[in-house]
Amino acid sequence: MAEKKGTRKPQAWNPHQQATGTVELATFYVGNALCGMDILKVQEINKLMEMTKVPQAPDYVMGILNLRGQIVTIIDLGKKLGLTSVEVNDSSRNIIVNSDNEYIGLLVSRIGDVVEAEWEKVERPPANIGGVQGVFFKGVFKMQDRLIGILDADRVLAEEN
Amino acid sequence: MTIQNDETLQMYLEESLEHLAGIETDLLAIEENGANIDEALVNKVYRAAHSIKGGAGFMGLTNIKDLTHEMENILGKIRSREMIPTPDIINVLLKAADALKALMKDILNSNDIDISEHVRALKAVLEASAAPKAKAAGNEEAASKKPKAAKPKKAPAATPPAPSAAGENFSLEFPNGQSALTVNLKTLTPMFQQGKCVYLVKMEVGAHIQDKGKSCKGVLEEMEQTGIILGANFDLRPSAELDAGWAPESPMVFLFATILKPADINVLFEIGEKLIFELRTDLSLYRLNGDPATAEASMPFEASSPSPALLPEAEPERIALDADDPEPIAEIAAQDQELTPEMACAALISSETGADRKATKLEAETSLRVHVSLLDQLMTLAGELVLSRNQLLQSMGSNDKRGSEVAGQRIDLITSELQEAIMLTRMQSIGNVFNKFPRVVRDLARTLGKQVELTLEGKDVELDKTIIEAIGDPLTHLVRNAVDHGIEPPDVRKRMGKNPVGKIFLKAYHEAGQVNIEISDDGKGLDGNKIAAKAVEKGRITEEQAKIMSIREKTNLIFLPGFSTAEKVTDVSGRGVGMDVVKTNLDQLGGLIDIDSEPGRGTTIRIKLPLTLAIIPCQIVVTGGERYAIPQVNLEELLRIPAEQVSKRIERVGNADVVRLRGNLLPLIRLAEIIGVESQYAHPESGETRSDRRKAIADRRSKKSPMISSQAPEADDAQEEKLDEGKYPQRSEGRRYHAASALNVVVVSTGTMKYGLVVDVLHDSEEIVVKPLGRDLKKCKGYAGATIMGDGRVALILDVANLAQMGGLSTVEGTARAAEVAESEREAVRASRDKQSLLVFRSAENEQFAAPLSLVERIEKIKRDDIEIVGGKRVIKYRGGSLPLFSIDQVATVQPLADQNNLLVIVFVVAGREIGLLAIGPVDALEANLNIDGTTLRQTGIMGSTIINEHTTLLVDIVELVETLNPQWFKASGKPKKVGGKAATILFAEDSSFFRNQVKASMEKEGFTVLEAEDGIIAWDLLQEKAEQISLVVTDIEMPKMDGFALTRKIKESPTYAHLPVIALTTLAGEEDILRGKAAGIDDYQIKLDREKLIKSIHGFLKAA
Repeated sequence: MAEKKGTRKPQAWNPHQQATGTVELATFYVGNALCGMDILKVQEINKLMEMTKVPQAPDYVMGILNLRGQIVTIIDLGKKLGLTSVEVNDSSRNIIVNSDNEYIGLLVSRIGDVVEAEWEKVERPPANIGGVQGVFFKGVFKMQDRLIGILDADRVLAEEN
Repeated sequence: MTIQNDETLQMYLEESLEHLAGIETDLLAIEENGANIDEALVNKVYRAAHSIKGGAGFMGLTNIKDLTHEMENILGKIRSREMIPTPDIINVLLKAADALKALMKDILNSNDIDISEHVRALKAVLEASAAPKAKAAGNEEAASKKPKAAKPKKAPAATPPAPSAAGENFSLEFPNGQSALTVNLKTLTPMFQQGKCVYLVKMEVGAHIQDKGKSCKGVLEEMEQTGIILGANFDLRPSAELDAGWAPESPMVFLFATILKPADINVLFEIGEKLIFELRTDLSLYRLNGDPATAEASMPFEASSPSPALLPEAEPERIALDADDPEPIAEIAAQDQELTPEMACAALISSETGADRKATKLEAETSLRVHVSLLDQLMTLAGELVLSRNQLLQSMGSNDKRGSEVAGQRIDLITSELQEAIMLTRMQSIGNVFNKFPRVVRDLARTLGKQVELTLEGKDVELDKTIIEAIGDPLTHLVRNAVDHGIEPPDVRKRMGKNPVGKIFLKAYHEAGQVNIEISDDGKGLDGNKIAAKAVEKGRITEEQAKIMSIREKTNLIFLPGFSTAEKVTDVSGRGVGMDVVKTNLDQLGGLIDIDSEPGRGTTIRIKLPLTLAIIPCQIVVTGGERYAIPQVNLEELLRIPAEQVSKRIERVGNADVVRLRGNLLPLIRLAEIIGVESQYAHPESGETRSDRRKAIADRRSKKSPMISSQAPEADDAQEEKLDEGKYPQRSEGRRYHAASALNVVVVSTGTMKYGLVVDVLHDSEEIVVKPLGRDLKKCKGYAGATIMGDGRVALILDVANLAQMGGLSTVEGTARAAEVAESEREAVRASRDKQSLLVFRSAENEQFAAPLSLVERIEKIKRDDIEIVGGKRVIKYRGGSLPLFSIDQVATVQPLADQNNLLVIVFVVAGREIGLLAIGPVDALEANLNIDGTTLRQTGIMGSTIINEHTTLLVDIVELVETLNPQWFKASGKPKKVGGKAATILFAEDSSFFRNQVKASMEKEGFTVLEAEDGIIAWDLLQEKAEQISLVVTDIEMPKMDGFALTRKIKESPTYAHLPVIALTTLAGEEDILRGKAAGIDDYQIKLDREKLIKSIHGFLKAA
């Protein structure tokens, strides 16, 4: 039960709590924006695009998918974050994450590398990153040439009212 | 004390809940028995309470422990017959059991819940019952303040030995009087407080230990691991200090405290049950089966009552046994106690870190008991599945097609069996739900001062676990309603001549793969009209809608949201929420609910539920290129409306489409429209799929719809209509003439309403596995879930109830609209039934005649040459006689009989004689809606004209023809009858003016005065106006406003007119109709139109009068 509690509660930004250690980030592109996510959140990455459309669903829902007997809702991460819709093509992928005991697929434009990030180098997200609300991010990791926005998957997937 | 949060707690919880469930039923049974106490039953409850208490002590659940302790005290008194279980006492106990249940639900926080109210109530019962024992109660309270000073009350019974002078030691005796041990109470009390069981055990060294290959040392070691040895009859040392071969000389007797329950204790000792006794808090010995170890009833003994506040501080007492070296035991005890602060600490930390305490709730029902044989079966099936898979893999590897097929078939078979077996594991008997109702009914009846008897039937009926859980609340609501609103108070019942004890009958049974639950009461029932009036008052339906509803429909209005007929709002029911919630809940389960009620006699509510929710049969449909599943429970029928009928059968009422289905109107919803996808159809020529852009299904409207006049059609529709009605009637129909535009309709029902869902394509029916949808899709109300189809893709399952809502069909609207149009439909049917069978023939080639078929005897073919002219009349030899012949042109001015050799003779019987009408073919018998023009072409022998098969047809009046030709035939009966010197007056009700004129004329010819009425109501008014004149009533059956049946009933029911003979004159010739007529009181039932028979009948009745 203790573990459950941990996953259920979206972790707020707390620099003191996460000030040390490293985290492996699975990076991916949403349009042109480079984002990352704690790799431990990622269940799998696939390119199943045989989705069933759900009429009347929120616009960010691409459809539902059969993932080995489980129904997975695929979310267009671009739309969800308020960016342009992710184009489905050869390079687009579904990142399946487990959020609140439910599998949800995030449709992204392209998969990037796995990056090891030190928490010391992670900075507090600005209020707005490239048009995306800052609350969706745990922080921003500065690489030599680029910035990676570290997505807070649970926050992104939290139920809207 | 601390709360242990692990599997043990889970196990404890499950077990305790089971005990609790039993307690409730048993308490009710105890109450019923009253003073006649069934000891076995009380013992059972006592044991259950005790087990709960024991575990609670061990787990550190102080509140639960305290509560059960108090319950135990009362039960003890009941058992010893010191207290008679009155309903009040049982009430307190039941409430305590409820509180316990509540505590169990949130067991981790149970210690923080205030239970003082219940404890007080329980204590009050104890005190009140034993007024002379007030001192004892006082003692007890003192004891709870100072447990250490607790002085066990001296028990009068022999078994619990009196404490020694010091008040600390007492000696235990075996039931046979053999002295066993002396024990210090101070060591004993903490054990009880921890909920441990204390056993007195006697073991023979030889028979019980050495013969079994064990050693005394081993036995002691084992005991040390599972509990604490409080005392022994030998020199007790820690087992580690003993030699392997050590053995005491005499049989070992010891007092042993452990958490092991009586049922399990023998696992440790493996000796006869007679040698182990349980020492309970009353300090008397019990056998392991819970019976007191002595013949005398033992007095309950107020042992020191544990106080939650003091328990954690309970220090390990130095154990002063009469053993020489008590040290090791003290150590063990100390260790045991030492654990406490640590655990308390842990608990403290956990409660600090767990910011959200609710998250620590334990879910009670997370495990399920399954019979081992079922598990074995599952295992076998799993094994078979593996074997078949191996077979399949092998055949596939070697490209053995035949082998693969065989294996595939086997897997198919095994999968079905496996599915069934797994389903069985989820099945639970409905008794789980039903069993709580005796209590519910009892409590409620008590509060309301009613007497209710509840009968349960079919407790063994099994349902899926999820359904069992979900129907609890709706059923409870219905049962409570039955008690609160259904059953009347005893005095009212007596006054009504009913048994003062109301009956509620709860029944579950299987039928057609579904489970049916019936809740019936013999109470006051529901008044459909009252409900409808209320619904009108609340603006839920209009008065017009209410008028056309059947009583059953009205009764079912109770399921509308925010509806309550209770005049008084009680805490039980009648808050205006309820039945709609019940219905919603059942809808969600795919269940149906229906109410049937008879005012004054009772109400029956029927619920239909699927056996399981996990796998359900579904109809697969396609719309907009995607597949959807519609649960079979909702499915009524599938309807395909061929393209050429679409325009005819579909109408637009308001802004909704409706389809005519067997005389009823069914509202239609287009799935594509509701969920916002584009409907598609396969183009008939190219085969490609195209989107169908029709806005309305019926692009052509029928003028016949009564609704159309009030609905102003849109401009282009109106134009289209003009085209239809005008020169190009083919055009718009032709547009929809290919098969692709046929309509596929799935007729679904959601309990009270039925509608048609228009889909693109209908597929097969399939068994599907229901999977839940993700949280992002929770807001899409149109879906009940999703499923995975054979090809691995996902299909959505439709929620037909919500779709109806989304489509803007509310229950009432749906039924009202259907009823409205059904009325017009009935009108049409009525009109079509008011038909007459006609024989169509010709006399000249191009002149068509018709005569009522009912008058025709038969038709013969003759040759013109066979006709003889005798005495100036044409006759033919016929069946040994001469049949007079005539042709129409002899009387009426029509074209002469065709000059051909092959003639027909239509034989009629007129005035009791046969006569033949010469005619020519083609003859045809047909049913025509007689829209007769009785004036334009009227002449002697011709009643009038009508259009049959697009030909103007003259209707022959045979009687008139014959009369003109042979007036002498009619002279015999031609005397006008007089009643009191005046012509008798006949009231004649008939809506068709043609028949009215016809019949009136023939009656007047007989000398009767005829009062005409166009329908039943006019007839009724006339009757009242001129009652004294009228001596007979002739009525048509099918009439607008009031039909003949109703008119007859009215006449026969009224004392003033009941004597009037009523003759029905109708085209309804069915057996049923005749029976109905007889039932209504019709004296003579005549089929239109045999004038002679009618006149004869009239004469008959008038003569009799």
